[in-house]
Amino acid sequence: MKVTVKSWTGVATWRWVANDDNCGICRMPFDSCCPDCKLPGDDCPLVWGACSHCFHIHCIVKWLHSQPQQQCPMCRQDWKFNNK
Amino acid sequence: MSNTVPTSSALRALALEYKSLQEEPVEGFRVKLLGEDNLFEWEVAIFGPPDTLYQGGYFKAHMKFPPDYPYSPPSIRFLTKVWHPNVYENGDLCISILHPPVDDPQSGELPCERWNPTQSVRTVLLSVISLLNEPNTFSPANVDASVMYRRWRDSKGKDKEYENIIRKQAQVARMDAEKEGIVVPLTLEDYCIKTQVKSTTQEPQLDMTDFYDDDYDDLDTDSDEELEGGEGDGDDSGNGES
Repeated sequence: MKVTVKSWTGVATWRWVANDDNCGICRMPFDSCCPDCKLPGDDCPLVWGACSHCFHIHCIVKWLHSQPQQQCPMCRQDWKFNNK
Repeated sequence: MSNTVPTSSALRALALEYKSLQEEPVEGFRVKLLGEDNLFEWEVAIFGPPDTLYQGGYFKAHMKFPPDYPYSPPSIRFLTKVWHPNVYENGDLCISILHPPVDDPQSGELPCERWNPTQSVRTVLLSVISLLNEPNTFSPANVDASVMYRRWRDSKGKDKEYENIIRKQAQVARMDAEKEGIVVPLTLEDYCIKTQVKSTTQEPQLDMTDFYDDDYDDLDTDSDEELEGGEGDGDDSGNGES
């Protein structure tokens, strides 16, 4: 039997690979965006600190801006962005 | 930085926390909303831990959340009379975890003991429960209670004035609770029973890792039928609700 493929549509899924399920600041799942955004994805990325804790970039930046000292809210180590 | 219009992030964080506390109550306290349509004011009730002066007590408090929660801390005011070094005359509770981490050398509180956005109602109330029996006498809100507490502690319980007041308040609070039809747990067993239930339901944590593995497997095998983006959507709407 011969089959002719007339057309096909590719489908892909993605997810962030984080060491946790939810952002510790906004408590939203990492696979959805922070509460200030509409769509998950590159416009609402995750960031890691040198301490290996992970947050939505918007959440951690908002927190760091409101603080005299730049510390990870999870472990209180000085916050440094881990550029990996 | 505190704006008066509640942010959607505050609403969502509170809705999530409220839901999880309803589904999986934590030992030692219960929460409910003061008004059905306002997530920013909760009524919380703390059970006095068994084998302490507070045994049998049922302490009601209001918990108020700022519009920019969880970036700013909630506040707690006891409605039940509480004679405690860290509770003001009007019931306001003074505890470092509810103070924003501003630089204030006068307070004697380390920034690391203060509020941060990863704290939650659960962690705050557990701190409050442990504060009951271990007051902070460094900067007391109720100086008389603090002096009395230290006398009781330093006399190793021989000076019973503090103890008597607390036990009496706990007893009165318990009678009030009974009038409301609430049974206050008196034994450690009853007090902890919820945790035991919880530890069995904690298995989903293990499942979660499986879930991820499965997910990756699925991606490898039949990515065609994987319209599982719908899963993410499900999460989304679920959280946006209520």
